[in-house]
Amino acid sequence: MYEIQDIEVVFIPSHLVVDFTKCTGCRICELACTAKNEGRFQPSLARVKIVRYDDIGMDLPNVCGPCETAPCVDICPVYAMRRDPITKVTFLDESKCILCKSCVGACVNGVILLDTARMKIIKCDHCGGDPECAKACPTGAINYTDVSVAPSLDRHSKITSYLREIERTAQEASGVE
Amino acid sequence: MNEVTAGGYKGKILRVNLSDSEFHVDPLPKDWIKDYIGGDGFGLKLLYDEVPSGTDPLGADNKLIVATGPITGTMWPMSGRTVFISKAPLTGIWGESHVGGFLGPELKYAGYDMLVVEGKADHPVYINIEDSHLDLLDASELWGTTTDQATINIKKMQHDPDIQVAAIGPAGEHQVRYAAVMVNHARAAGRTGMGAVLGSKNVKAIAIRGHGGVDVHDHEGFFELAKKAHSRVRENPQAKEMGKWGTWVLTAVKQEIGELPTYNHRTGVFPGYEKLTGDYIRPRFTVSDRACFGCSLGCKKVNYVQTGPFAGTLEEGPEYEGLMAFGSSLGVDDFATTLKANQICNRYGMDIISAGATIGFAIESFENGLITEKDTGGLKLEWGNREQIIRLLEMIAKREGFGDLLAEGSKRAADTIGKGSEKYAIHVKGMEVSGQDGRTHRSIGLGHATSARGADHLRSLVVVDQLGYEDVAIKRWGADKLPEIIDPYTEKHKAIAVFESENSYSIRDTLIVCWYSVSWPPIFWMEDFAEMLPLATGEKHLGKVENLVEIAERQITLKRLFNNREGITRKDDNLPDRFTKEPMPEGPGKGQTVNLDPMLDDYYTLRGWDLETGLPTKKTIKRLSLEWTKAHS
Repeated sequence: MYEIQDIEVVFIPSHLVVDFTKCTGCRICELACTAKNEGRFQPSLARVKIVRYDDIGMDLPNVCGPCETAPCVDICPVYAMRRDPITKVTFLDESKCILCKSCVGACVNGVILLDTARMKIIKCDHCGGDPECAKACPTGAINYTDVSVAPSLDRHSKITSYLREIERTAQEASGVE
Repeated sequence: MNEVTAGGYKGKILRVNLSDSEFHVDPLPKDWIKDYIGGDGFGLKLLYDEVPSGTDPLGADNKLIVATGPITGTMWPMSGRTVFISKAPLTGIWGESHVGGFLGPELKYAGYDMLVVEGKADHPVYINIEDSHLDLLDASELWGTTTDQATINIKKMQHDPDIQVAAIGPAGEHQVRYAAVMVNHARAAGRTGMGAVLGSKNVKAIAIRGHGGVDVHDHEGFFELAKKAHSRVRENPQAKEMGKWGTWVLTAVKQEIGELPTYNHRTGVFPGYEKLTGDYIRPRFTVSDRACFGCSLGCKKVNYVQTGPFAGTLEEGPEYEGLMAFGSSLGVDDFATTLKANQICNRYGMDIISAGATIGFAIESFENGLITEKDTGGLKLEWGNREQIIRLLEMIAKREGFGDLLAEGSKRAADTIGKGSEKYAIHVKGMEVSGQDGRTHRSIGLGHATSARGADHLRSLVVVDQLGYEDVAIKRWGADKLPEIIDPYTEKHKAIAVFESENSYSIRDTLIVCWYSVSWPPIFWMEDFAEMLPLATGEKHLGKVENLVEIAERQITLKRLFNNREGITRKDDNLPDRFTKEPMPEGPGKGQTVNLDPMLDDYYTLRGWDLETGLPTKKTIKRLSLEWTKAHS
């Protein structure tokens, strides 16, 4: 092909992509995240969040992105949250942040937090392009990869069928008792 | 890091006295770290000091300890374990029960290394710990509910789905002597009856939520080593198998070597074993793989039954021991039944091994005419009756009718029935024998006989001899001890294998890490802990294998002294006649029995215990700095 110089090249952006069918709920991602970003093991400050459903035996990894629209950006009243137009990753400018927690409430994945000890918003930055959680995940449930090649799994369909089954067995059980 | 202790620890012991509804926070004694490391060790020291001999396990004076280790809550592989320690209702001696799940890390994040539950509440309560907010809350509404309902309801009441709950079910409330404490719905601190201790204290549950973190001594060094350790787990071929099949891999192996306990340990060969193997179960029943905290192996399987009498059952488990306890041991060649039985035990909060073995005892006693339909309330007990097993489990948990007798465990039930039914009660020191058999695996015969809490497969089970790992055996014990040391049918050298494995497992239980990273598959051993501990704690003393061995020996001898104080001597280190007098009737181990005495002699010699009495000698007590126990004065 060509020899091209002095031109801005756009590489295919990577995102944290989850495959919840592979998640075992071990929370190693939360540990690795805080070990890298906080210098200690403290899942309550992790930028990823595993939601464990012990009653139905399944686990959902929640990570920052990929989002079609960015509610955290849209809701920020002081434009402290912005989005890279190419990679679609959102970033927080802490110097502008007024700690109103709007983004915490708006995040559909529930991974933006307020650290009440240091009074600052905790927000995933994909470890600057080398996310620790994806490296630590033992099953490949969290991948740092190109969105277009990731399996497009409908995360709601499986849960819905699970919940329906749970409801059915719960009714049967209560009928017996 | 806090000033009072080393890295990894929180430096605090939380005590709750139920009698006067008071919480106290004590500092963690710094000198415990050097001598006991944590977990099992801390609990042992505390129980020895504070629960004197003769204490009623189900009385207000007994204490229940929830302990963690220095690396609990960190990223070391499989370090999310928790131990419950108390004087055991099942055996009346040392009691401990380890459990996976997520409880222990949450206790550390809340800021405590240990929780000690003392006294007795005058009405049902649950202990609610949220960081430094400590409450004893009314649990009248929860009393009588199953463990899963209690867990869900506490999360609802506290408006926090991330709370970790350890709950007892109806079995614990009715003080079934092998009642379990359940965490995360399906992880059980099952053995020795810790659930009954909580039940006797009117404690329905312990709910914990922590927002803090754990700081190790050398964060960067520890983090790097932990990541390497995870890679070792992920690359280990046996660990990969375990991740796929869980402990179900064992069923086929056990059948092949003739050690799959069948019909209450009468034989080691079960014709219907195929339906209890991983190959059969996984494609037909498994819906998801799960893991405990910080585990990259992931041996937990969620299973679902689509057809048959138990259709609709969705439950995590059972493990190999459950397949054995409700499958082969009761003559059931049906996975769905073992899953349903496991679900009943999880919901009601009961130990599956003891529950299955006690039912097996009842069936065999019935078969031999020692009990009749008059005793059982009309039930015709028989092998392989699926619905009957489920019915019996419910009766035991609620102490209904005949279930009231079985709720006492096989030893006490046999004492009540008499007429020679003792020979069908397959137990050691009152605790029912797990899914192994000393006849086809001599070292476990010695392990069952000498373990501190009774017939225990988790404190000293040697797998190297059973599965014939020649290279590992040479590395650990020297080529001169081959071939005997890996021959499962000879007593020779077995004490060395048990002694050395028990030492390693003892350190495992102080950290606390999971069986499935140390014992089988043997990924980590003493050297790995010696490399990791100084990074985690900053204690250089813990970086030498010989020091760890001494700590392990201290631990095992102190447990022994605890039991001696309750009257345990050499005569109690025995096995059921089934293993010593009834030769294995069929299979590869046909004709084998256990000759315990020579192994006991060797074992006592290695431990420095008196050959005649089984008591630690004065010299041993001095060597292990245990004079403070005043065991010989």
